[in-house]
Amino acid sequence: MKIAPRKPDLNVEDLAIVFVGDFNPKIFQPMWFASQGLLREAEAENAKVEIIHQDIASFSTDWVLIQVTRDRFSAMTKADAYQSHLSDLVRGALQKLSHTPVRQMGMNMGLRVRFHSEEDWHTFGHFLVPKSPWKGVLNKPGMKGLQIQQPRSDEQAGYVLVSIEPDARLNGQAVIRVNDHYEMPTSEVSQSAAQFVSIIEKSFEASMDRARAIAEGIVGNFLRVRTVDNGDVK
Amino acid sequence: MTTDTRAAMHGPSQEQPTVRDRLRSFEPEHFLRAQKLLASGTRPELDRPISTGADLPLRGDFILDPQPPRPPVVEGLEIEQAFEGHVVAVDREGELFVARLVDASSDAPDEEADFSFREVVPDDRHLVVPGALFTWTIGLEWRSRQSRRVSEIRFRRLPPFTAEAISQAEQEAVELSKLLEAQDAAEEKNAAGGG
Repeated sequence: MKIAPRKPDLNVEDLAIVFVGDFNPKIFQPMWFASQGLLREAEAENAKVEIIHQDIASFSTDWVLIQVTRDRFSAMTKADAYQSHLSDLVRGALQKLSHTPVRQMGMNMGLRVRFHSEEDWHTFGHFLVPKSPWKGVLNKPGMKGLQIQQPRSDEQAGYVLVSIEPDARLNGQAVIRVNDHYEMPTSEVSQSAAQFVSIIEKSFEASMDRARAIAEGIVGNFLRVRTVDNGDVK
Repeated sequence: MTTDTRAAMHGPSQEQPTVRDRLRSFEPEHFLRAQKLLASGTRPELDRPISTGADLPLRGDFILDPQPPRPPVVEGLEIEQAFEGHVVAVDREGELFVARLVDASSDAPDEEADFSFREVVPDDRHLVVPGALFTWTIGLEWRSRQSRRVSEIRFRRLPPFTAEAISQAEQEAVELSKLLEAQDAAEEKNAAGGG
């Protein structure tokens, strides 16, 4: 199938830093962040608290959503203008709780791709997942999700996982998610919070730049192809 | 389980709230399981008084099912111009500060600009000291599906340097110092040889 897609719009959907470890959710109240100088007092006072409980804490301010369960900490923002502030907040929190065992960390970015036509959107799916292998197996196969992983290129344990899926609610849009995942060896978990603080300090900006580059790269490759396999190959 | 034998033998006193009372106090939309548990009929453990141990028998099935959280109010910010600034000088009496600005959205040359304290939210004003970092974002902000033009100065709330970062900086300073000393020595030697 011959194609001539127009360049889609690519915008940051969200940024997040996630830890997996052992947490005490009750600590993570808006006023705790303010008392530690990590949030503005007014932001803490006006925070929308969903729940603060021994098993889960969840609140949002204008710019950040914090969710903590006993085994997971997540801080997310919807605008990349807050990228450096997200890093400051998470590093600050983890530095205050430096004895918290943390086993894994993800520095994550979601990017929304808005295609100019529904046809371009379908074509992007054919580009990523050729349909000939499904010929005679499925009727009108459509890509619902794709995950591609690469090992880390630095000395850390972990991987970079890229997920691409169409937006189920909005035809003509897709979301590319990049999960920059770090693993801490079991022997080092007791020192892990400090190590993760150091990794965020050194690598968060580069990780976010890489996520943008990955999304721009895959969209760029899409714009360079002139044919895709939609399953109608004779 | 509770360590209070009276509660186990005689049930809770009138004044003491029970686990059942506590479950009822939760908002139903947040605690679907709590509501299911309450609807599940007679369960003796629900009528135990709240104590340091009263929740324990429930831990297995008391799993919270909160609604999907509300995202941050700012749903997006289309950046038209973004600067990374650092404070060069502060005039507290005049309520002004001077900052050097690096344009993060283009390759435009660095600029220096004066800012009034009024442009900084009161909660950030104590952060305005020489060397402080901030972001200045001009763009279109989306809230509740409505856009509005914003210009926001937000000071960085950087955590203190880690011991590792300080140690690394000191090491780099020592290495740089040695390099400069070696260069000076080589220049002196050359000058002496040439004279």
